Amino acid sequence: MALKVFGKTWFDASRTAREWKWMRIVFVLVWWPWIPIALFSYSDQPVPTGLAQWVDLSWLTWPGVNVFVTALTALACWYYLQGKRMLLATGTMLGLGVLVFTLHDSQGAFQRNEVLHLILLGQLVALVQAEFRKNLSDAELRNQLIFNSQQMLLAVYFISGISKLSTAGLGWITDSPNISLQIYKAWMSLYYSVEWPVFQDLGVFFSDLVAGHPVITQFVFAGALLLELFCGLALLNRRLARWIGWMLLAMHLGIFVLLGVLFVPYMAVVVIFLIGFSRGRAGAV
Amino acid sequence: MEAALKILRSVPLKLFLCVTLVSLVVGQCHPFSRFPMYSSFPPTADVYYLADESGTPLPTLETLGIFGPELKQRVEHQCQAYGAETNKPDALRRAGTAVLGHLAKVNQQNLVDLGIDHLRLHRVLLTREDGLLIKNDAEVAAWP
Repeated sequence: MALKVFGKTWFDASRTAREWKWMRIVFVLVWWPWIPIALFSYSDQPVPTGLAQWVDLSWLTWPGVNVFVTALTALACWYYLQGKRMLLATGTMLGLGVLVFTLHDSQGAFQRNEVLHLILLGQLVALVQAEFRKNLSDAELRNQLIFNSQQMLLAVYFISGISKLSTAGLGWITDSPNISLQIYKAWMSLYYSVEWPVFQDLGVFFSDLVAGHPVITQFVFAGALLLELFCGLALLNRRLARWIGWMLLAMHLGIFVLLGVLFVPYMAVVVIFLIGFSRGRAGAV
Repeated sequence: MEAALKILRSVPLKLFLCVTLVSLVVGQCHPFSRFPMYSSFPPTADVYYLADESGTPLPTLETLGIFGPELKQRVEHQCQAYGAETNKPDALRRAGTAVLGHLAKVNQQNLVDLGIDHLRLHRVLLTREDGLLIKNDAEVAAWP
């Protein structure tokens, strides 16, 4: 799909049907396992958040209901993977997913996988729009679905950048050497999880490394903030999407190495929707 | 009105802009969020751990089935639910006791199997002075 703005072609999200299928397969593999994990691990919502503040969602975990919801989401995933009844399948995945993930977050710890449902929301918008545009070809719909997914994914990083600026301003860069404390905290949290001494050693090593190189740390963090604020450029064309996708992936890998925190859903959707699985030429449908 | 609609139609990335606006306004309400993780770097940090009566650390995963970061988040969010910050000792004790009580109830059989009948929640406050890491450890809550 190539969108024209002011008479010029700017936005290109063209992908092949094969790529779109792989995107759906990996997406489902990342999204669906959370459903049974939440429904069969919990029985209440000790710290209600979001929708759970107004509606008690613990009924989702009742015996029988949890099996039914798990089966229903599995069925929706099957249709989603087949590319059949997409509006119903995506709507079911989004609706039930938001309820289950809200219950998950209401255990007192956020799982930070909102991006998955924002992507489904973007796809649902494309599918609803397609209902009103009967002359839309399969390729156009597919590319609109992918383009909406990319917009949602990149919006998450942009919002994160705005949050940093509104919370700390440029202090996010100048104070960044203080992350040495967060690094030690993160590795010690892992140490207290399983009491493996290696986590304690890694915490001391990385924390001292960052504290000892404040200027390099500030440069790296300035780069990360710029990346988040300008990641929307990835929507311009496929080559930029790949470059920015690799940079976001590198950022997540850096976070993993320094803090031991792995944002699997984010890394997966960056690979799926930005880096892609094929080296096909930009604009190929 | 017609002109406004025409301008609106010509705006690219409407979805990108809409979700940004809604997320910033709504805040934390799944699937919307301001994604505030690591959005500031204060000169202090804290880490929580479980301990037995003598203060010896207990692995949270084996004892209560959760990772350390989740324990910290649970205590902090419980504190927020009480309308207080974690720097208020009374609120922290109340929140810590509630979290320990809930987790102990959920993992009742596991605690019996491990022979654990008392839990303590410790908070370690981290700072750096002259490049050196300073740790202040304090017990903040107990169960039962």
